[in-house]
Amino acid sequence: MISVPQFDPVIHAPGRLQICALLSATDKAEFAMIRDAIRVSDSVLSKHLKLLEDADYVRATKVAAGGRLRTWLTLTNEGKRAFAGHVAELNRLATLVRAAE
Amino acid sequence: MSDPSDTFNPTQALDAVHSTRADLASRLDEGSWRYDLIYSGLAGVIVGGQALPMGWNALASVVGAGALGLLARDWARRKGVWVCGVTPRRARWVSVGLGLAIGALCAAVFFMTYNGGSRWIALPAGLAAAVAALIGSRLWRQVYRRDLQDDFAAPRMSMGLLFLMGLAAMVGSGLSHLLNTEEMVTAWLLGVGIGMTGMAAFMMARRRFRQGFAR
Repeated sequence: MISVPQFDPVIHAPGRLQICALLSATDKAEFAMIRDAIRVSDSVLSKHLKLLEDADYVRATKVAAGGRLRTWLTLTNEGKRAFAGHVAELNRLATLVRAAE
Repeated sequence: MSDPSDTFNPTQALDAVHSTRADLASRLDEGSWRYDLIYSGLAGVIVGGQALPMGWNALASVVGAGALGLLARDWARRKGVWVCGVTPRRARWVSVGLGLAIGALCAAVFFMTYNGGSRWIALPAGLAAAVAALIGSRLWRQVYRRDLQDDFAAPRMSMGLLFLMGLAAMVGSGLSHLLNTEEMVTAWLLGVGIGMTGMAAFMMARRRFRQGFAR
């Protein structure tokens, strides 16, 4: 399916772009794995996730495992569409930049 | 303070997306041989188990499927990532092909032993299933890696596909019980045919639904 290029200000920030890049490639990913993969602190990741959740792009589920709660994150269909559109827009802009150079 | 959008570079943003996904692929590759070998061994047990007497073969299937579930759960817990075999756009067809091959081997072993054939068929069939599962599993990883590099399409339909595959299996086994034993192969094929038709109808309806929204 071809995505309509559309710049998304929520996804635009580098941290949130990386989070979406990870989540779009999986069914769900755990908070700690994302934190380690994009090399940010717990609080920074929480802030990014809050914005993505407020935009209905990410859904969080808490699961008890090994005596502690683990947070699993999923990109919603809305989030997948927005991310695909944003990447399509990045590709379009990158092509324009290359053409102008 | 400068506005971040002033220094926005789409090429750098795309590079960040690609490197994040490449990093994910490397993380998932670590220890994957161990997973694939256990997975293929369990596939061999499920196929070989079909040569066991009635009841025991069902038990072998249930135990094998349960062990596969536990293996996947443990993998997800250790890696912090869950990727269903039929989620990635291109790699899903490796899963579907592997599922059909294992299903066909299960059916072949079951029908051969049910019709008086030697139970020793379990050994070569189980070995063939294990080899097929190992090759399929490694191939799936390779195709998934390619999906990670350049597939950003959305959204996906893994749940719908899983539901219909399950439906095909249920209809097939249900018809097998309803019809005479001589017609079991026909019933099984009929069940798979109904499931495939349902899947095609679902995909067409989904496309129409999307097109309706896009207008």
